[in-house]
Amino acid sequence: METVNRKVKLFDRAFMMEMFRALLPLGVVFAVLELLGAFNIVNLASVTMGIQNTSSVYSGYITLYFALAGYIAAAKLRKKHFSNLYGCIPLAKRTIWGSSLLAALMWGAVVVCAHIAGYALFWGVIAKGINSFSTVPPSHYEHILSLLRVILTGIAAYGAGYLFTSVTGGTVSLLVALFSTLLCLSFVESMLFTWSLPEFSLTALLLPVHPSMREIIDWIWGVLLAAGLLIASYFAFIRSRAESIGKPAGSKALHIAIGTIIGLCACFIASTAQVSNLSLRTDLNGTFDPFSVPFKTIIIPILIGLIVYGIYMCISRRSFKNGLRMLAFYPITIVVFVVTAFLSTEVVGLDNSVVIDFDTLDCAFVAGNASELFADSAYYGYYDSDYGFLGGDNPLDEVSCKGIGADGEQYYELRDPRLLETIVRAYKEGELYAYYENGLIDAAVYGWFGIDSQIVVRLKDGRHYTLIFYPSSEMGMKLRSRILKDDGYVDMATDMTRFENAHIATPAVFDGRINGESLAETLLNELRALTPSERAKVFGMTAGDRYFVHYGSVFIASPMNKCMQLVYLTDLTPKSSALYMRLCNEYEREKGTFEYLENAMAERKIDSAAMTLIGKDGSVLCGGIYSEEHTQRQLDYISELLKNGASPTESENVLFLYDWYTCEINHAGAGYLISNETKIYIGISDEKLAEIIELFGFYKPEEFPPTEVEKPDDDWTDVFVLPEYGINGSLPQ
Amino acid sequence: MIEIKNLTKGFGELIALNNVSCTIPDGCIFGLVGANGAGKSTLLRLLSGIYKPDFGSITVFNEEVYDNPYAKAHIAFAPDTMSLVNSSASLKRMAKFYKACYKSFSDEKFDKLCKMFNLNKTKRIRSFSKGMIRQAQTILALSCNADITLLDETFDGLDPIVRNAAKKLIYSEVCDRNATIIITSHSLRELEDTCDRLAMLYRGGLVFQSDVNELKTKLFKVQVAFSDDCTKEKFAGLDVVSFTKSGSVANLIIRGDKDETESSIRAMNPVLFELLPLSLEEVFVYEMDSLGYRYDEIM
Repeated sequence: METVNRKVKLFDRAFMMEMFRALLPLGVVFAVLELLGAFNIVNLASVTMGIQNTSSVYSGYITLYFALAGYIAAAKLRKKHFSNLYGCIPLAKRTIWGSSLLAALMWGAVVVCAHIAGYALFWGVIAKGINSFSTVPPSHYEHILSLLRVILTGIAAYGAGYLFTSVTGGTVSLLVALFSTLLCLSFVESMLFTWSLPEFSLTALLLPVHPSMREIIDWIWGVLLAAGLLIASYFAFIRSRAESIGKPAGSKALHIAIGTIIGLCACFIASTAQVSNLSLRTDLNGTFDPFSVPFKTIIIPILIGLIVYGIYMCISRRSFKNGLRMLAFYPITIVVFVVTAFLSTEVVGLDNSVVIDFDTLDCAFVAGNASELFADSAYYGYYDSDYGFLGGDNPLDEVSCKGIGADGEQYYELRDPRLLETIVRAYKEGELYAYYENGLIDAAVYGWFGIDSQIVVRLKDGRHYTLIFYPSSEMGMKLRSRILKDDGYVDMATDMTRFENAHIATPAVFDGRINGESLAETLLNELRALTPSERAKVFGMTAGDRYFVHYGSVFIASPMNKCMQLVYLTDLTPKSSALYMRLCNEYEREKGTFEYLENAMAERKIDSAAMTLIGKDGSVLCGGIYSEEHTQRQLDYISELLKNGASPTESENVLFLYDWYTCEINHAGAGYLISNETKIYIGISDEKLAEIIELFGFYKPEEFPPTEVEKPDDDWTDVFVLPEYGINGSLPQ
Repeated sequence: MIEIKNLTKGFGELIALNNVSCTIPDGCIFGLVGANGAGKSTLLRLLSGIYKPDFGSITVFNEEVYDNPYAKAHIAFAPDTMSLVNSSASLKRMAKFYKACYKSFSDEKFDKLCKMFNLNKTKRIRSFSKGMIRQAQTILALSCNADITLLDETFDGLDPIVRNAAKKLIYSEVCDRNATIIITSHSLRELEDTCDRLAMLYRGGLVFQSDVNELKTKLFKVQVAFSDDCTKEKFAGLDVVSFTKSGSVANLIIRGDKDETESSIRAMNPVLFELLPLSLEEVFVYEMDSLGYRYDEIM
């Protein structure tokens, strides 16, 4: 018989429109979700972890849309009630595949447009009426990149949905497999794209590239992953048969593979780290526990994986007996999981058996970015810092914080022999934990490897080890103070060239709305004029100078939010500090806080307050007033000061009221102290200063260590709370 | 022309079709008969390209069918269960879908058929009765104007009036367009007066196939009586399929030419001679018997 070779088209317009109609409900629902999500109204947890999201605009639905679109499209030939129709029509399978993809992309474009419309509407109309944000939104450029990334992940999810629908038949198997694949996708993405400790990164291992290349590599990986899944889905669909509809998988091997993936996901979820970050360094509370290996990280996850795998096999085989038989293949899951875990250990493995002393030590390096070394200065998205800045909310979101340490990373060699001695002793005493590097990584490219660690030592035999320690520990403090005595390091860590055209990255209080630009310009000029050691102080790097005056703090961020730096506003930056205080007052006035406090005091609704007095000579006094009858006159006094509402200048003493604890409750009852996070600055003359000191009975900060806010006892009126931050530049104990 | 060569199809351990070979010429009404589970629907699904053969081949106009849009463009399939584009599809919606897939789809024919069968085009197909669904499926398949139309148990469940109407339609398809129609049924009586050719499937194998006219004319019953006793040996010159005697009357089932047979027997000077036609079912019974099958077991 003669075989006729004819060209089979990839798209068919009529069928594509048919698929477009089939995806209509899905497309409409997700377009609406994206539109609403842009308003931040719909802020639901994502179904799968690790789905990309931007700070105030939630785009996780795009990925989910694509995953479901893949399932729906492939189900046209994989469900019994469709199989007759779509199997006999004169369309080749590749035409069905291509037309489905095009229809899905068309609806995907609609969903993305809805997202963009919502985003534009939000920033163009709604955001104008918002006074403050709980997180700092990323720049538009970052947002676009994030959106492109989500789309790429979505296309990968479409391929995964299509692929799994093509190889599985049972609905339970399909849904479980699809969900597990999306989780694995997240994990694979993390493995490939994550560059920093403690996450395991295959890419970082295989491609020791310069930090500036990392983003390009990430994109290449993303495109390859999406393309790979699409191609796999194509071939899987072409080879799929209507005969296997209803079966758990087209073949026994596939069924085992699906079960393995599901079991693997269960193992990862149950491991001591998040599913997307296989880390052996922390337990469930995020506390470093080097002895958690292997029980919590390996044994328990394997057992949980076994249970999940077994349940899946029983359900999909529709028989307990058959399901149990399939347990024979579970060891594949164990092998994959353990290999992954130990590969992770291998790359970033804990090895406290290594000998680090003066005989073996060659040299030590430290990361140049101060934010990495000094954790109190660094914000990582949703992790609370040791300080509450401008009200205790995280001013930075995950996207913004991604830039910390990622660009312009430098490693500085430590030469101070006393410092090296400290390191060696600390390691011997068990205060430093050593993670060894892969021996293949050459020292010359080590600085580009992408591990954002604190100290790295190189031994004489060429091996590298990363030394991990808690920055706020005694050792951490000691190390830090020693490192800061190295001028070369300080120069590099306080380098201002990273912050050309920087902006203030804070909540919208200063975000161009109340002349925040002038604050940025003033601050950058003042910072550039400081010496490196002075800059180290305002960057929060120094452990000394316990009681320097601190009026507030802001973050400066480079234009793309790649580099961020915390800056304390102190007497070292007088102009910025004065401007900051004036801006705060203007902001509070706009909100009506001044008037509110005056009224509350007049109505006797305020029972306690905290305040700080800063003399122009730099002396600091803390005080407070609390509910006693006679202190009402103190409140009246403050009320009068508020009425004047003078802004401080450089030449005046400053009284600032902050952490007002206002409760509209009666004196007899108990209640909670609530901070309204207000800072009101009042400039006072020397005369007034003396009057206030006498009236309020201030004390010096060193007399009272800072305390945490405690829940008050029954008679809350006796509670007087000191602020836990802000007066000095030292770390809280 | 449809060529089926050594076709084998299995589902796990079950062999649905085993080494089936068959040729179906153009312009014929081909009936496929067999009990439940014989493999009729499987064969049609292989013919329409839903399933892929495990072994052997199915070609339509010299082209393999599976995943071949050019071959499938010649084939329209009306399965025993209706597949819809979506759960709320109406007949009109389905027609639109078919029209998009088959370039030869005729709206006029579709409208005419809907009127003929009195089916509401805009109503949801899921709300139709079983018989109406069958009608709808047939209408859509015939409206495609394909060279080959496969009808899976189309007549089953239809009332006599509608069945007759359907048969007339099928005749006109063949006469007007020289189309090939393949019909399956588990009832010979349904196919007897419709099909040109018939084939019988049994446990995945094709046990018998023949032209219907040939079947009816080549096998016939003879009742004969002689003045003296007669035995089967008396008719040695004839192809006697079955010989029974009731008293002095012998009942023979003879395969061969009627005229020649009549001449031969009359030459023996019978006292009684009667030549009787057989029903198709009876023909099948004897043919199966001669092949070693018991018809009542097969059907």
